[in-house]
Amino acid sequence: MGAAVSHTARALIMAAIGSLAVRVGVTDEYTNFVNEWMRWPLVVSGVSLVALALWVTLSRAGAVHADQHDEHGHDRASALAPWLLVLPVVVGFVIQPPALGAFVADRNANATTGSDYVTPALEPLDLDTVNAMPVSNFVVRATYDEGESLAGATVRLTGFVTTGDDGTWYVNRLTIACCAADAAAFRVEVAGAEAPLAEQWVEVVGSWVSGTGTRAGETPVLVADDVTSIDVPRRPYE
Amino acid sequence: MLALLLSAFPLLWVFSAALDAERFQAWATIFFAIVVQSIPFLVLGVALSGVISAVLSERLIARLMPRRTAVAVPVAGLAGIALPACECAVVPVANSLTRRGLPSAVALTFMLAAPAINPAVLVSTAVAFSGRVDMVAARFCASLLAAVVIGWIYVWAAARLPRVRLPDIKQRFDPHPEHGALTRFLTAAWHDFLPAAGFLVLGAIVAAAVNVLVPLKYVELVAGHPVLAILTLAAFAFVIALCSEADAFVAASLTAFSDTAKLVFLVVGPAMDIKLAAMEAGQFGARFARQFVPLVLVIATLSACAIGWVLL
Repeated sequence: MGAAVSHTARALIMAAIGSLAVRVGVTDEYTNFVNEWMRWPLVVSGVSLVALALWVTLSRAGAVHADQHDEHGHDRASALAPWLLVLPVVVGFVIQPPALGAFVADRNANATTGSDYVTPALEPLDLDTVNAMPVSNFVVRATYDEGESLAGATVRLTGFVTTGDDGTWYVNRLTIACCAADAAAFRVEVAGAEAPLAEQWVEVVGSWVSGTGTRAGETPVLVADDVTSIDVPRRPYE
Repeated sequence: MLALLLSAFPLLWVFSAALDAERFQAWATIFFAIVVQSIPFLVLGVALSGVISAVLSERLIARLMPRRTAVAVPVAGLAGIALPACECAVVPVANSLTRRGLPSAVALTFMLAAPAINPAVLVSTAVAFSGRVDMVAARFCASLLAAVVIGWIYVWAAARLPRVRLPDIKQRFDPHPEHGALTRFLTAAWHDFLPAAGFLVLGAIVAAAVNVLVPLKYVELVAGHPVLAILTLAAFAFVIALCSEADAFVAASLTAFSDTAKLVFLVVGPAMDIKLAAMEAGQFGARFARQFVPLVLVIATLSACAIGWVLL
């Protein structure tokens, strides 16, 4: 047998893809790949695919015609295409790829101009408390108004660690718009604290070093008062 | 069956040898993300195409659309506003529309316009470009223009040039008029999903590899040269195959490029990319795709340049 994908095999493949979608949506795995709001569409479409595969198997609908189709030798490529779907099933169930991290951060950190990317929430910060903010927001603030809104404020950033050549280290976070394929990376250099292990997730509390990261593409610096190691957050992307 | 599965292993092995572990992992994540992201949209598209097959009769389509094909083309382009989905959903829809007797030039126009000019895409473009109305307007006009021009080319060429291939519309299943609407819907969905999804996986393999192998920094090297910049971004949009609701964010981050070059990226991407080319070759036949893909790339690029010149 070569070209033809039998009716049952095709139903199996469809059910596998459907259960893959359900699994990714029901567990928190989906946060590694797509946006928050994709969760329920994934579950619903996965359930529909499994149901459709079941219906097709039980009713044998479409089977007769599929066999005729192969007799004509019509369009081998189309007949083989369903096999390609085995690859995401293997990747999803066996490899289980992790969220993007240091590889992307090292390659294009702060390459995205923040002011274009994130509509900057430039509301004034509270100077008396610790302001938790996304890493991207910190980078945006440093660039957008030359850091004016950061001056004098204490902030808390959450991200993963990457290390530079000469003992410098960064707290990094990726953002996604649609899925991991469009991930953009933001990073802030941390001064005044020992570098944690690479790829460790941390919370860094500290304040902006005046004049750093004010031009697009530059990396702002944060003087750390406190660095705490944390578990990987439920949502790896901002 | 077994041979196929076995032959997949050396392929994976070559991949992992050529890429270091970190790269391979990033590839796997991005590849999987593209597939996961498109499953709901594909199911939506297949469901819509099932509805079309089950409910829309040829008579109704004939009544809704203008009789003259040349007039129906721009109508179909504007109708693209009504399908708020990115491009994976639209290929099966176009396929089922042609199966229901819509002239293929009209269905192709709809297929090219819908992923680029629907409200969801325009809003995300506005957000990515910090509310720049001129960019949103330019994207809308250039994508619509490209879709309509290509539709007209097919209307004109179908009658005059025998070498022009029209989509190969397979009557994939018997409509079985004696069955109920639900059975017709399910049968259509069953026949549409696997081929479309399979070719989408093929596109995702390549797009994820490009994503991992070609960093934006290399693309930016040519930003200074106006013509080269446009050609590079057109090619980049084709190979990286981003979802049309996300591509504006990437375009906005290509700060070194001119606005016209960014517009080319935004107009080419939703109309044609490696993922769409694979899906269209699957749905409409390889011979059709060999003419259609380059034609769309050229027209979309020209249209974006023209509109960019006027508006930006």
